[in-house]
Amino acid sequence: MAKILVVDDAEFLRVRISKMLVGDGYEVIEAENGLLALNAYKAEKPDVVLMDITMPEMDGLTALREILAVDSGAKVIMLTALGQESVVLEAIKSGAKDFIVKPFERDRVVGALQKLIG
Amino acid sequence: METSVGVGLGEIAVSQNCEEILVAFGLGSCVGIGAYDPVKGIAGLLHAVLPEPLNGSDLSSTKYVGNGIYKLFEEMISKGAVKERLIIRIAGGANMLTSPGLSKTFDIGTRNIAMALKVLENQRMKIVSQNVGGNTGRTFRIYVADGKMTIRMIGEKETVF
Repeated sequence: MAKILVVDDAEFLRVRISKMLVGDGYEVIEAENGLLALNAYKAEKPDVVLMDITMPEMDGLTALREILAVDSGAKVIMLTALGQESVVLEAIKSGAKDFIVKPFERDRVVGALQKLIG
Repeated sequence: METSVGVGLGEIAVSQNCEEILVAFGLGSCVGIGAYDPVKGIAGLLHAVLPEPLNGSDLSSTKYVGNGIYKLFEEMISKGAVKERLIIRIAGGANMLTSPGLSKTFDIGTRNIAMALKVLENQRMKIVSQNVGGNTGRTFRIYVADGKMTIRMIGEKETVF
């Protein structure tokens, strides 16, 4: 059972994504900012991270880089809003594997996870 | 060394070659639709001429906005792009006829823009930015290396949009 770390400062989004993924058989861990995500990554070693960009304490781009410094093989998908294209491009250059634009549909999220996990 | 790939009237170009720049020269009433998948590094550019076919003729031609957009996405997806990741910008659609009485009747540019917006909305695709309308032609470039898209109006400098 694949383990997914969902990182977003908006609780309702974490809950929504978690319900979606648990319903599809994934195990889900949540974090509300990049710093907690980094700690969770080290402790839980998830298969994939779904990472929001704009968050307090540590933003998604910084957290992505920190996680990749810990594990160069980490699979991180950025969750972005329209208008964040420059950050998304930076994230892809830094090693993010994919990005999903909000508001997203279930098929897009699940499809992106399946491509990375197999 | 960068190579310009011209995208002529009714043509589509799709590239993953980082040394290429896709270029639609002199978009007057024509509309250019640019798309870029930053994960796969795939860029695509459509140079559409007319909003829709007249009299049911030539239905499959990419010179028409709607069919051109479908073909652009089809070709990019066939090369590995993911439609939901595409960063889309549109340019052109100027009204090049300025004679009183004629300019509204034959305002192909405005109709091209309207058709592009409608088709993209139907496809649930969001446009990140647009540089459209007015009375002046534009040259639209997409740099495959990083997906940067620029416009150059006649007599002005190239600017990112």
